[in-house]
Amino acid sequence: MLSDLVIRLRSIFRGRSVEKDLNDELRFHFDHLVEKYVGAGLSREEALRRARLEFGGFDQVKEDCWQAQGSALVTTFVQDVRYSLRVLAKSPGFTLIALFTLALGIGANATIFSIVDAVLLRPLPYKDAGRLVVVWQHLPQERVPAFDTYREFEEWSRNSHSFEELAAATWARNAEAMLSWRGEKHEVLAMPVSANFFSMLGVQAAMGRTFESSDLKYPCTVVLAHQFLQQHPAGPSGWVGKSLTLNSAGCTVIGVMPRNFSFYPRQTEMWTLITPDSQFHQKPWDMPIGVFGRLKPGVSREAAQAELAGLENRIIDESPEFAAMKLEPYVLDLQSEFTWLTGRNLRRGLILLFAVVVFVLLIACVNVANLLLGRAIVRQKELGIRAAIGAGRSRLVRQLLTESAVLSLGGTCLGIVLAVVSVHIIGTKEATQLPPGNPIAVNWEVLLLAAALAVVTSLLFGVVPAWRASSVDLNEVLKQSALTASRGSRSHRTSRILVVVEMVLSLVVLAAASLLIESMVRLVNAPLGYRRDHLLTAEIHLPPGAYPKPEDHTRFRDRVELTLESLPGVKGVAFAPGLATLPGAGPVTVEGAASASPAASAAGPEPVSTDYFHVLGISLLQGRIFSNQDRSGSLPVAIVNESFAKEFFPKGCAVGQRIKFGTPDGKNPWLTIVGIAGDVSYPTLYMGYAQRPTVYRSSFEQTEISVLLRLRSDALLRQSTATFPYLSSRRLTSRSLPLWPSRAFAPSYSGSLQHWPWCLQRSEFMACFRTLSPRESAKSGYVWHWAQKEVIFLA
Amino acid sequence: MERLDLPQGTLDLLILRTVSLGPQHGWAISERIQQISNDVLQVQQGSLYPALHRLERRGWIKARWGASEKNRRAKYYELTKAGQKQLASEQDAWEKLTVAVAQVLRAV
Repeated sequence: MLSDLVIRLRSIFRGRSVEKDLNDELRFHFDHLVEKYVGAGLSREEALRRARLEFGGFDQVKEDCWQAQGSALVTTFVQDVRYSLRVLAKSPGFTLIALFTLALGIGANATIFSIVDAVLLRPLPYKDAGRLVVVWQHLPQERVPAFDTYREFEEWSRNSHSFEELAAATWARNAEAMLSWRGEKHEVLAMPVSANFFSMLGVQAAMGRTFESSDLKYPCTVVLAHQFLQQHPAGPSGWVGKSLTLNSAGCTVIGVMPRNFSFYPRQTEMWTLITPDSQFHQKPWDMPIGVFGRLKPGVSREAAQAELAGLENRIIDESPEFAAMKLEPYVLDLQSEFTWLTGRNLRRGLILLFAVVVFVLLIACVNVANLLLGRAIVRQKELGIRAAIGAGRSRLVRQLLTESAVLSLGGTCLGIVLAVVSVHIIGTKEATQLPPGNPIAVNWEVLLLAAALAVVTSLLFGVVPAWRASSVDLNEVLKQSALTASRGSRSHRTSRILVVVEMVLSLVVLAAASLLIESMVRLVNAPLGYRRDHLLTAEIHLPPGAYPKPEDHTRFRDRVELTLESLPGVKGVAFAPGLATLPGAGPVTVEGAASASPAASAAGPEPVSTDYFHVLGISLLQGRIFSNQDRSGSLPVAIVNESFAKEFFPKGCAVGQRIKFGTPDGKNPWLTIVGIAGDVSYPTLYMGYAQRPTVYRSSFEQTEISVLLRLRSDALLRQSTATFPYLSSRRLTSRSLPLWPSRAFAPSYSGSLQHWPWCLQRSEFMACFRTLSPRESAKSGYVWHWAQKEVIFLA
Repeated sequence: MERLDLPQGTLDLLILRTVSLGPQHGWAISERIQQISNDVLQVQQGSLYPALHRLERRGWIKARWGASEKNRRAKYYELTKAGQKQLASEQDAWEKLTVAVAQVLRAV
């Protein structure tokens, strides 16, 4: 067996010397044969003739010996490959085009597959990832996921039997913290988590350790994400054991997570421990929190969900307000939830994209097949001669297929290079938002796919041209002195069929692409009820208790307004509630009606400043807008939108009517409707854009304020870089109030429309998390286009 | 004397037997078979060399290059251990076969 292998291998690697040996051996025999005849008295010529006759075809014997050695198959393959390389090198134009076409197709497939593999196929890189789940809640009527409360987390982890472990983590509210570092203050994304968060995921710290229950007795401990280290180098001794100031409290760094660890949201820079003293533990327990858990083996998500719903009743007994909400817990697979959170259409989008690149590869194959077919006509003569000296049709097909395989192998190698480059770009430049978990990489699975693609493509584009080309009519070919089109017509027919196939494939891709563009255009141009051009917003966060008296608050806003209005290029300034404090929806009573409308609820009262409608360009349909007199609050007035008027006053004549939030006997004041404004479309997390009944009020005592600026032109938008730091540092922060953004006003548009803020609305609160472009991350300032259709980041 | 074609499979046996007498090159093997059989058996080169290469691949004979009597470079084949066993079993089988065939032919 071993000698067999040695002989075969030797015949491959020492092809030439083996052939010489065989020649020598046969020549030796032949010479002796001639000698023998000469010795028997024949003339030399006669002896040679006899010997040749007896010996038969030299080449035939050699061929038989090759066969006997079993090396024929391998040898001819090596020969074919060599020959292919020579032929391909002779026509570099064709070879380059074919290689490039194939590289594009295979590279695109490998790239998209590496994303699909990381996002959809490979399990999350946590312990027993298949059993990891997330618990959300939703209202029975609208299946909109909402965070849980810490109270629920406690109750569930204490009493549920469906889970091996439950951990809590939240990115709603308070997820941003002010970090003081080297004399500067900036925002970081710090995610509060329960002590067992890391141990439940089964992950270890790269340096130091993760949280333990013993840490609960310290006021503040944090674990840093790897990306925090890159932005905040700690020096030779490292971060572990150091302390940092977070929201003006001292925190101890106990560990740093490895580079490849990520959780949702990926931009998280550190994790803080939820301690018994924190707000999460205090009534009214409305701190939103996500509950993550690992199911016990064999427990279904449905069973766990039913158990949690049962436990929920206990909490409901404790708090009647809670009971009113009638929230139901539901349990979802963690990985698909990550994908969904990252992009509502990410999963579908990836599958679609994969389908498109497969089509692109098919088109590439058809193209190369056509090129090969064209070459086959040119190579008729060459193939004809090969056939004439004894190559059978199968031998010719094999030769041509080897050529295709060489091409496709080259294309695949180039394609893999292309994929590695694109994966690197996607991974580092964050060209698209990808869910946390597995980093995308060209791993062996991707390479396997590429290899499979190489084989399939070489057959796809090689078989038809090879079959066509190998059907050589010897007489015809050898008779021809120059190329004629006699046989070309047949090739042309095949070529035409291939072109038709290509057209069909291209059409499919084109249709998909144009549909995508169409929906994009629609999304961008959707009428929103306000003018988005030249509109900027920034947020001001006032420390609680900064302006206890309403007059002070008004004065503060007036000052901001005056400062901003005096800037060149600013057309108007208005205020709206900060995103984090947008009021939720609640029942509304119409004066004269017996009870609060049971089904309909309205958003609001949404406090806005006098110029709000002007600055946003919201049209006034009836009545008037707010005036400065309304601010004094002598007569509580409200402006409602069209949806509200239609829903609550179907017969018209809403202006002049009085409404009240809550029940008729509630303490809220009666509001007189003075005007009806046009509807504004809000982006919603789950239903695209929607208009909802809204009530606007002119009173304004918020601690989180959105400042809205209408600029005169985009040029000013770019120029205003210098003005905002000036504002923030000198005028507005006279009482050391952080005005966010605190940085230069150089808006860069985030191209993606997927970056919706993560807002969860419950009847009494709305928690918002700003999904920042990872590149910008929470550290840089940001501004929102109003209604968050696009997020504009400050550099 | 009339020359006979070799029955299928006997060439291998003849080669193995010839080579068992000592290392031989292809020419010598064919000559020896012809001589010993008094020119009855004639080995065609077209089948001799493929057979030699086949036997070499199976590991029954091994080849090495040496100088011939006339000081030319020649490929000598010799029997391996496996070849000796193979020769013994083939020879045994052949003898049994010929005896059996003869008995059948002799029977009335």
